[in-house]
Amino acid sequence: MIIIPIFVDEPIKNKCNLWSVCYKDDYQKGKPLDIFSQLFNLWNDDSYLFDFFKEHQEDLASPFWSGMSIDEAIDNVLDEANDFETELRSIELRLPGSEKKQLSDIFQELHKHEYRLKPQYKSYRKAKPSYAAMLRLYGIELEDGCIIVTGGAIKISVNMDRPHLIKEKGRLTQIRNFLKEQGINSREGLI
Amino acid sequence: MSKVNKKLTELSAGYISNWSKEADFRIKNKIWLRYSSNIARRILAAIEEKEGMNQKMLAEEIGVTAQYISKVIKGQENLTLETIAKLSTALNVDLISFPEYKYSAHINLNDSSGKTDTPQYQSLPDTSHSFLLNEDGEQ
Repeated sequence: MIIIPIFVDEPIKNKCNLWSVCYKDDYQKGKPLDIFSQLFNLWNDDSYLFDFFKEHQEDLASPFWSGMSIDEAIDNVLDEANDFETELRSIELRLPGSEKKQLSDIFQELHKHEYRLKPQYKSYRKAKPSYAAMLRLYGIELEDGCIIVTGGAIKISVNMDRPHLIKEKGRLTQIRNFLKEQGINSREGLI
Repeated sequence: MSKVNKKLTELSAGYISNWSKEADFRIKNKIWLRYSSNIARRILAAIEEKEGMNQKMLAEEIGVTAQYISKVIKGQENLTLETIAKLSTALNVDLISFPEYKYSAHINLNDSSGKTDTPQYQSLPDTSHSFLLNEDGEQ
C-alpha cells in the first residue's frame, strides 16, 4: 500500500494538501491507482450508478429522498461530482476567486473522518434546492491540516450499516494503523 | 516542507495521482458527456427490457466489440450519429429526440385579422420528433 499526492501546494502560507491511499491490488498499466481517482471515475460511470441505485431503490423510496427516481439520482451524483472536481481544480490551479482557499473552505466534516462538499459550492442546489448531498469522502486529517483520503461512497441511508459503508469504516481503521506504524500522527494526535 | 509532508512524500514512491488530468477532461467536456450519460442509461434500460438481449449480443448486432459497448454504457463515449442510429435500431428504442421548433408547426395563411400575407405557425400536438428507425433503416 502507498499514499500518493492528489495535489500538493508548495507555498506554505496557503497550504492545501490532499493525499490518497492506493490499495495493494489496485494497479493500472503497472502504476498504482489511487482510491480518490477511482471514486471519481465510478461517480461518472453510468453503468456503475445504474446498478448501484437499482440495488438501493429502497433507500431512494424513503421519505428523506421522497421517492427520487434512479434517473434523477444519477443526475444528482454527476452534478455533485462535477462540483467537487471543479472546486478542487480551482484551488489547485489558484484560479481567480480561489487564490486563498484551503481544503477546509470546501470540505465539510460531517462526522469524524466523513466529509462532503460544503453546500454553498453545489451549483445544482440552486436549481433543485430540495436535493441533498449523496457523495462522501472518508479520510484522516493530519496534524498540519493535510487530508489522506481512504475511500468514499454514495451515502443515501441514514446509518453506516450498508455493506459498502461498513467497508469504508474498515479501511479507515486499516489506514490509521498503517500511519501509526509509519510514525505519522493524526490531527488529534491519537490515531 | 513540513515533517508530515516529507514522510508522506517518501511513502508516495514518486507517484502522483492522475486525477487532475481526468478531472480536467470531465470539466471541459461536461456537456457532451451528459448527453452520452443520458444515452447510456437508456441503453442499459433497453438491454434489461429486451428479452434475451445482453451487451455481447448488442455488440455483435451492430458490429462492434463487447469492450466498446462496455465503454458506451459507462456514458463516456463521444458517440457518432451513425452509432446512435445503429444502437437505436438494434434495441428498438428512441435514443435521441428533438424538441418542436418554429418551423415544425403547420402553416396557416389565414390569421384572424384577415391578412393572408403573413404565415401563421400552429403548434403540433406532438412536441418532439423521434428518429427511431425500423429494421430497414426507414422512419
